Amino acid sequence: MDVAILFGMVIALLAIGVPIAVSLGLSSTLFLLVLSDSSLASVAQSMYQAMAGHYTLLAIPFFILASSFMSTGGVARRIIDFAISVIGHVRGGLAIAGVLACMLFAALSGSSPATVVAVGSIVIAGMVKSGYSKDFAAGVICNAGTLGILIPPSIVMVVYASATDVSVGRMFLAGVIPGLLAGAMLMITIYVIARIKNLPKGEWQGWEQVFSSILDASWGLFLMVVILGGIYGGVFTPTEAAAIASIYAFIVSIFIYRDMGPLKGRSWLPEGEADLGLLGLRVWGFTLVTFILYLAGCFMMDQPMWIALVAAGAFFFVALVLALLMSKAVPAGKGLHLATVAVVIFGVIPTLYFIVMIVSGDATTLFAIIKIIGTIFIVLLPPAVFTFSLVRGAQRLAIAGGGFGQSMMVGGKNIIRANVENVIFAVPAFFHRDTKATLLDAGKLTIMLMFIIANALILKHVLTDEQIPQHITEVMLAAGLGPITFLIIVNVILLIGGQFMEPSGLIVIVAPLVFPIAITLGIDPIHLGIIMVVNMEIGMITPPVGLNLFVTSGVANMSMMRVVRAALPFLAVLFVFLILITYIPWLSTVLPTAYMGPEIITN
Amino acid sequence: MSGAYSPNSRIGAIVHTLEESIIAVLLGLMTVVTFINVVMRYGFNSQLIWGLELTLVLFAWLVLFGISYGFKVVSHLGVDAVLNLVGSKSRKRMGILAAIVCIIYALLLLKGGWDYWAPFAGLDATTGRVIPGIIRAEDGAGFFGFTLGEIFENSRDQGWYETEQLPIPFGQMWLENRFNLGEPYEKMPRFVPYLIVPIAMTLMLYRLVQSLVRILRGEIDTIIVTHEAEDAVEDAGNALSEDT
Repeated sequence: MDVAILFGMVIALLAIGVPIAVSLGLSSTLFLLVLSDSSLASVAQSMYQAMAGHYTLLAIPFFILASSFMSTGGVARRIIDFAISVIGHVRGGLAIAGVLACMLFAALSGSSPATVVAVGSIVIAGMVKSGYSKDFAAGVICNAGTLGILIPPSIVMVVYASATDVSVGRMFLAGVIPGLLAGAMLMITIYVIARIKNLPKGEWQGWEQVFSSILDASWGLFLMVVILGGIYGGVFTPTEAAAIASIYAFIVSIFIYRDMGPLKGRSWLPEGEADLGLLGLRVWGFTLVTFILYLAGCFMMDQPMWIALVAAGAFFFVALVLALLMSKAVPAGKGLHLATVAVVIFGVIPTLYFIVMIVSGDATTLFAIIKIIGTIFIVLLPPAVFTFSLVRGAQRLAIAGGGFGQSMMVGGKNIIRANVENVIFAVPAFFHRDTKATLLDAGKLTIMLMFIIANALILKHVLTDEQIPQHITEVMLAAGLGPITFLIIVNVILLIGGQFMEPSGLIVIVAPLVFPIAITLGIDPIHLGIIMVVNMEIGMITPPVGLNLFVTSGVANMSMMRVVRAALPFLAVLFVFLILITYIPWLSTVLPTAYMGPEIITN
Repeated sequence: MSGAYSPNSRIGAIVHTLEESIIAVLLGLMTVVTFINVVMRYGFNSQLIWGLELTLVLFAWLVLFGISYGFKVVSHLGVDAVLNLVGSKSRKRMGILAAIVCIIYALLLLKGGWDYWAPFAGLDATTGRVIPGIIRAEDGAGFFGFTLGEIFENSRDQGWYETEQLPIPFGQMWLENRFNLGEPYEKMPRFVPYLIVPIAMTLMLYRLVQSLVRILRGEIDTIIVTHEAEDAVEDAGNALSEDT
């Protein structure tokens, strides 16, 4: 009864327009004052300790900062270009590319509305131009934008991990398969609709465009590798990984992409030399990156530094010969043949060798698959990207009509110039107004989220003090509740709550209520977390008040009702997905269990 | 809809810049300290032993300090489903009511914040559970069983409590003499990081009173936004309508 009053008060306050944080905080404070002998000082203390006492939550500002550096239009543009070059040529390809772009961008940015704004503002306009209806475009982006909180790194998962004391690393791993599955289901639906409705398709732009756009987007996408590799390699804690990621994002956006900061507008190749110098720049650039990677490797593994020098030298020699051949082959129309041969020699054969090694080894099937996917990314992808980006470079060189030597000179000159600029502006970049603006944006978002989470933690204290979770568990068990009915109840609560509440705050409140019941019923805590996250996602696009619906209607300049109708077919897909996730725990638990051993319940 | 906040006086502009700089610097420092600690661990096999604690304190400072800024620029999340159903007059009334509710919250937390911090700084906490000076009467006499008493109680001095690892960069002598009866501190005393609590609550109260005045004057009609990307959405929506 008391709890009903408490929640009734929260809802009443929310309804008259009190901020979520204050609604939660004030209701719980009054509740504490009336029903227990806690003092106001202890409320103030929990506000302070919400930040200072939660090491896990410390990852949130860092993830937000990393994604703020990455959420510029420039990065979204590159990711969209890549998605279109990969899948744009099938029927309905632009819409499928929109989903892919949302998935990739979502992996960089932790927030759904931000994803819808960044990707939606570019893709919706593009789709309308190529002959899609605006409703279809808005419906696709509105749904795909929700994948952000499911694909790691995800702020909501950090909050769940902190609220229930499960490991952040496990939650991130658990989100991988569901995230990919949800994306695939949306894409397949779009493809089917596209076949039926005969939606437009784009042109195939060639392998060199695919790999050139991968190269462009790779600096941004490598952020995921930094975060996930760091955590699962056991190198960093998730919090540290997030901090490293924000420094990495700072470096990439200011010194490499140059979308912001003191070097904005000064590209690596000046306008007039862009065609001539590209081939040379890529040879030099890849050599430099090879050197830096090996140097870092030697440093980490305590090997002598000359190894890096030798490796870079060897790489440079091979790259030089390959680029020279390419500059001859492309004008003769044999560029793609040469590229194929080179990729087979440097990429496919080593990859096959490793795959044979893996298959003949004694790893379990699952691990073998993970290793093979890893091998393809590490051994096959870089040579392919390098070779095909040389094709693009040689094509541009042929347009400019210069010689190979000239290209190497121009490329070399510019890479030195650009790096001298980087060194000169290294310190000013920290104090540039764009850096400050990004820090401020991330700071504002952190404040907003943490203000809610801190107050939700006060409410959580009230609930645990009053032993509400235990009471609910007893009542539910006494009513003979099975796992399936329980999960349906959780689904319904979260679908309703997810419409009104910021997902992180809702998790802080609901997780402690349902967690003990789930444990008693034998539901895996990781599985429960993924179910909760998926529910939040769907809550964002469920009428009447789903958050993403509002954002999309703003971005696409459409009425709310039109967006709701446009989103409905895909909402149905996500509902099917929710049912799959709820009743097939394997989808969520297989990766974390395989990688980190079975979950041990500590409660 | 919020619209970007723009200060309308010279002092307002200075304060605005100052607030934004403090937020940016706190977040920047947190990131750099954590980064340096990782680099030191792998590169030099050592670490700043106070790095983690400092980062957590800065985190608390960032969020607590920023709450008042969030109220100023109207960036705290809320639900406007009901607000959108009612007419503009009721909307304003509900806005006023919401602001008053927030002010009550701020007042409660201000008392809580002071009571929490004061003993650590060797000062006295206030009496009363809710309103300072109003305490429960011994024999049920007085107004509703409450009676007026002293505003401050004699709190136990906890100035000797120290943080785990934080060093004192400067002013050690003064801190020791003023707050610890001249006894030496080995680490930063706790009341220094905790100081943000009463400060933040005071600032929040100030900004909320300002918000109430702005609503009464009709400058704004709500103290919430519905999602974090409202400004960006407006920009994107406008850009798209120009395109198509």
